[in-house]
Amino acid sequence: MDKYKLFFSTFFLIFLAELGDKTQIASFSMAAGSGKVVSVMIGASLALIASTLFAVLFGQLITKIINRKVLKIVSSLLFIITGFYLLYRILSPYLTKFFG
Amino acid sequence: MISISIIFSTFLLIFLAELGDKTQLTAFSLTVSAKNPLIIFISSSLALVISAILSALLGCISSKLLPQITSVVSAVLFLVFGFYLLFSKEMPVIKECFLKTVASENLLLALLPRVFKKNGIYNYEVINIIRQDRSHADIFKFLIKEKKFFNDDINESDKIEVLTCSLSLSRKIVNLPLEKALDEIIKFEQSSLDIYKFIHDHLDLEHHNEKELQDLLKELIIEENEHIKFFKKLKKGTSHG
Repeated sequence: MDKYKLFFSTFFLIFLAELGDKTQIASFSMAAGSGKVVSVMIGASLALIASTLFAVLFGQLITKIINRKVLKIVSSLLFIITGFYLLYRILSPYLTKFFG
Repeated sequence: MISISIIFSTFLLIFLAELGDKTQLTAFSLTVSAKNPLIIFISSSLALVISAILSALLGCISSKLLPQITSVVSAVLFLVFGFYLLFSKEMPVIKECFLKTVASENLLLALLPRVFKKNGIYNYEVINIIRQDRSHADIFKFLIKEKKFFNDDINESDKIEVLTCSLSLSRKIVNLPLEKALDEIIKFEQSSLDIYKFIHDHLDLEHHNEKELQDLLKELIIEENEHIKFFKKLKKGTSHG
């Protein structure tokens, strides 16, 4: 049960964060520019898997070096900062309209 | 046509763009806070691959159609995750191990009669084993309730995590032929024996004066050893007959 929860929460978090991200725009323009959709798909997928692999391996390595409790606080702050950053990015045009 | 050069250039471009990106940081943070890196790897790779396929096929449907909605949702998700992680309490490894022990011993209790009744060897020896396994589950349940155990009672908590992982039993054993079912049961009893042994050997006696508990565990180890012997004998009987 816990495994499925972890799987789906990771999936949706990353999937939503990735939608409309620069990587997606890059692969979109690569596909549009070259006209070779399948090649771009394969290349982009491999790159994303490789970058995830690095992140996961590094994350696992660092849990062995640094205390878990400290890491938990740091990573939760990382999430919160990312959340606020995303909100800021959405709201900034409106903010400059009002205050700028 | 699949072109190697386009695969390669896309790979390089996206891989470099992705290094240190928020997605990578997310995967990193998730790994740090969760205990199962493989699941994180699989699910985040899958999410990325699907989003890559979407964007290659349709172009940025999302960023054209509903850019702000997806951004708001993902921002909220990040915040929820962050705060959840910040305020969630991690269960001590040892308590988790005890809970799993209770759950799996109970599962064994439920499955054993069905396996042996089906094969027509539901005798006093089996009933006795079930009775003893029930007492094992009860002891651990009692310990959880009494909070007799704390995280610092046992060092090397990494090791107990590994041991607990092997404590698994499938409901399917009821449908297996007796010999294979016995194999699974022996494997299960062996892993619970390993856990009892580990707790017995690593109890911090000075810290909580758990001499009584250590004696109790010694009994459990002896009983579990006998169970394994019994099941092995039974297995020998079935393979000869």
